[in-house]
Amino acid sequence: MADKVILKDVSKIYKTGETEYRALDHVDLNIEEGRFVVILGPSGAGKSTLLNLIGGMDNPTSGDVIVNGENISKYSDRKLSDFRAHSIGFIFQFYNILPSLTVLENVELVKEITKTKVDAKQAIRDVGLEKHFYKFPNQMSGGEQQRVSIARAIAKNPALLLCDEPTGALDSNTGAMILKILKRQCDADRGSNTVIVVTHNALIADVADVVIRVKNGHIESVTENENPMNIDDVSW
Amino acid sequence: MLLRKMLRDIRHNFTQFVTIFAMVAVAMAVYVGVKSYGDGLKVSVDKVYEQQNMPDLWLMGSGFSENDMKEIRAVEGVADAMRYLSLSMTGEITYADGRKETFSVPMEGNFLDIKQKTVSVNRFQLIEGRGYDPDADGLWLGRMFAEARDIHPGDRIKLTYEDAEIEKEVLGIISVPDHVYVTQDSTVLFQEAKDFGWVYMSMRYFPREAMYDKIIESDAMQGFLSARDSLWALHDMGMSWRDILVTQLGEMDPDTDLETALELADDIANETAGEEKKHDFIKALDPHFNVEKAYTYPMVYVDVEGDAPGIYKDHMDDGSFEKKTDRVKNALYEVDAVDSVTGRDSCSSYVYYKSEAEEGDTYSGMFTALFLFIASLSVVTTMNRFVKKQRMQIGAMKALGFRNSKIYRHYISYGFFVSIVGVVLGFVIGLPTLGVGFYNMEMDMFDIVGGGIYVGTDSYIVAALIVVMVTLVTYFSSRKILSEPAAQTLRLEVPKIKQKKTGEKPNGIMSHLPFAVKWNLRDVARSKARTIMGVVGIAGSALLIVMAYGMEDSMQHYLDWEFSGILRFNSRLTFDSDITNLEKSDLYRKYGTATTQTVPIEYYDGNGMLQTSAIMVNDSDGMIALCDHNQGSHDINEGIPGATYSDIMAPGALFVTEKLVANKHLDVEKKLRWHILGNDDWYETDIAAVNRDPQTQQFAMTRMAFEGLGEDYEPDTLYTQMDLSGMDDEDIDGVSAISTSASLREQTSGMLNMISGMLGLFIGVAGALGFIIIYNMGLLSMNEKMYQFSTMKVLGFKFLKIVKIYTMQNVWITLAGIVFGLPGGFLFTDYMFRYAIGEDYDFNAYIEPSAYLIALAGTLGVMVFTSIFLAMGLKKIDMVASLKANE
Repeated sequence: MADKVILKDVSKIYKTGETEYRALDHVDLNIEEGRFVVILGPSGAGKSTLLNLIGGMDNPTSGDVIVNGENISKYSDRKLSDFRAHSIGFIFQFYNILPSLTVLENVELVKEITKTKVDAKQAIRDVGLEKHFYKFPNQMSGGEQQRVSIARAIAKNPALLLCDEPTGALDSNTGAMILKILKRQCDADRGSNTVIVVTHNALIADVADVVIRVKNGHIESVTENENPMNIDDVSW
Repeated sequence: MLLRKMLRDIRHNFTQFVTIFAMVAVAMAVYVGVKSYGDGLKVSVDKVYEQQNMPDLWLMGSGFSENDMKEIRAVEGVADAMRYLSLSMTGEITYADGRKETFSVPMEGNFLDIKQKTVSVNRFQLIEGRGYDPDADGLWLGRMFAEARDIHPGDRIKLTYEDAEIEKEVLGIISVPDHVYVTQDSTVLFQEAKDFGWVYMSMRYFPREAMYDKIIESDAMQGFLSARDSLWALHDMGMSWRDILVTQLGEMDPDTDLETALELADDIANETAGEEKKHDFIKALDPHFNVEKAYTYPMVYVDVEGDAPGIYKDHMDDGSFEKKTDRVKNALYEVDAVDSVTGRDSCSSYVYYKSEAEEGDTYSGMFTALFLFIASLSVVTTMNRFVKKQRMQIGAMKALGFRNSKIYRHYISYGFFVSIVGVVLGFVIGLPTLGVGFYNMEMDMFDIVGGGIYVGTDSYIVAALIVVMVTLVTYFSSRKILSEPAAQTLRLEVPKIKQKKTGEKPNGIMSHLPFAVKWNLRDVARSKARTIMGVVGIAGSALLIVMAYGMEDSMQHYLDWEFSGILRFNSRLTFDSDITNLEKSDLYRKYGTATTQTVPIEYYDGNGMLQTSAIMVNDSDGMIALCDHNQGSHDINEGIPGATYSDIMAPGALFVTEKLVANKHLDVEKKLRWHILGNDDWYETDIAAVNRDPQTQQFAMTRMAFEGLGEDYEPDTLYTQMDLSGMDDEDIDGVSAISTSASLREQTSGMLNMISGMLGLFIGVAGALGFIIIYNMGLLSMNEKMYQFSTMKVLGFKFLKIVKIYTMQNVWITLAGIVFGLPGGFLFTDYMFRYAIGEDYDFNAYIEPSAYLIALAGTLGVMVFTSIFLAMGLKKIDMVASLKANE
């Protein structure tokens, strides 16, 4: 399969006054299309920075970030917005859905930024929230809100789905349900999307196709999981 | 520890706390500055009136003798009385050391009773030189003129009255209470101190020659002069002086020195006699002639027993002094020599000063209230948001075991300390800048020595109220959070949703609206307090802009009304009080016959109180027009709509201004009872018509109606369309002042500019505060929505689209604010002109559409600029950090 994401000698340095903090240090990485990838690592390892660079939310200090064959590392803010609008779906730990919009409106929000045909209701049905089209976020549980966030992300059928601790704020049953939905996005019938999940929960690694371990700004290991576990079999 | 936390929190939220601090400080500075200046004007003048014994009443008559004075002093309630003579003169100033060139100016000469050893009423306040002494051969000069012209004791002034001259040394520089504000004559609106002076001196040094001339002008003396040749002839025929006296001049004193009188008669008749010969001539004909008894005192200062209420403390008066003064006034009318009695409300110095001191009260109160309101809005919003931001910290403190009372004290101290430092700074800044600045500006016009700004208790009360208000806002902001259990406080606040409220229906029209509209509508509905504060703040800013420009427009409109609608002459000639018929005829021949006569009157108002006013008998051929309610101009002889020709020409038919009807509760359906001052004949005549005048509230009458009463029309002013701007009164005989419509307009405009300059300052500061509010609102709203904008940005919304979404709501709020602000601006301006400027004015707001357009464009422009400026921050936003911060 073709490489969906390629990182070539990527470094990211944050500067605070005189102090420099090297979040990523000369990282090289290839992620193939249609894989369910888990990035593991302790706090401060650089995993979120890695996700932000892949998602076009930040530019690297040096090196190239190539997504879908496009080198986005030198993109302007405007081009990065376009890139995120068309190619990336984001899911956060605390959902980040807009409280003043209903479930349906939150998902339809993507119509504002892309010309791609969006079936918002289908995306909501896909995450099992068809009875909640007109509810507001604060009328829903955390798991339901996270499913709204996923529906919003998948509605535009992005090539790359980036998830930052998507189950971090959820109980085990709800977390498992969310992982199932995410994993389903990699299926061929769903377009073989690539899903990258950043987490510090090692148990999630068992269900991944690929596990990337990050430590102190370096890629410590990239492991192919020959037999990913079924999510229902994972003991949380 | 908590103190350290407070200081750091203030540092971290510097902009917002500085805004509160600045608002409190500026509002306090404006209040205390304006209040201290207004109260300073009143307190300072009250002190002068009290210490210098400002007269309570003024009497006028043809001359008050010593017996008259005894009678006046005997009236119950009269504490003291002092007679004097006041004349319009010309003064020629010569500097003692020749340090400057000699110059001439118009001056007012006041001559005090020769018997009066000290000045007991209208006392002098000595600034320089020696105190008053009736025997000292010199004069006492008014301070403002002396300072403007650098005149000191030792310099000399030659006073000229008609043909008589006296030159005296300046013995002292003084201030007197009834000369706090003076003008050369009623045609001058703003007196330049250097162009007009006044002096006081003893009648002993009155130019006697002028007095002798008056005596010689009497019928008896003139009769003797015309008979002098025949008397000489009788003497030449051998008749003795005694026989001539008895047979020809039987009514004369038997001790008359006829020979001396006839020897001097030729010089007298030929006007070649000097002062000594004139004295000897009079003395020869009147052996008992005593120069001191011949002095004429047509005016008397009266001090009524007890303390007059004063301008500052008049609200504490129960009206008893006024009642007593009225009783004294009525009793004084019983004295034969008294022609008229007027009170302080007819003294131009008192009335103008009072109106100036009170003028500031209303508009400064209004502006300060507006300031405090705007400031409190900002404080409420900012403190509310700040405490909400501290929610997690409050939760943490509660979880750690801090008692609610300790947390309350901690949060209350933010508001308390910031506001207390703010009000102190407000005092420190406001008093020396606005207070002293405005006070000194007023003192260019008024002669008050030893006065200054005054800080009354109300300023401290307002300061305390501001601190209490800010502290309470902080208390109420934290109370809601503190009443929650610690566990709940540690969670994010959940916004309340009412599914069925307007704008929140998921179906219906809402579902068809564009995303940006929908999102903003819901945000507005959810942040009602912030939205209302924004609307009010912007309404305030728009209102102030409309006021700023509206005042300018209204003043221009007033000037047009006064100088195009009413005063429709080119030049005005004020007649000398002793103008001869020959001079009048000459003036009519040269300049036309459009004239008026101002007749001072007393009348009973709607409450039965005796009031002083004037009737302008108008025969000006429309050059002094009368305006109807809608400001349409009419020649008085054509009447104004609603009044027939026979109505306005009926004997005594009066025109009265609308504002006077309202102020004095006059019933226009009833007859008005009035009399001419100095004349005991009372009239009861109809009010034929009601007219409007922007600045003079009085009566008017046609010449025919006036003469129909049997009164003689004796014009005092002539109007012409000829341009006499290059001439002065010395160029035309019988004229005491020449003024042109253009110069009057310029003077009025100059005076109004001073007021508008002061108001402009308030409006400027208030406008700046308004813009701070807009910025603060924008900042708060941006902070609250930051994570939503970050989410949008992560999703791929372009920068400009987010700016559009953010700006859209601000534009709505601005437009809503403008909807209230524009009419509000008109109403405030109108209120100020109608009620605040003084009861003698009948202004109303007249605002050009351009003022509204400027307010609309200005407010909208600032809001859009602020929104874009704040939205620029979104470009560099760290999306992840922002989203994480929300977590």
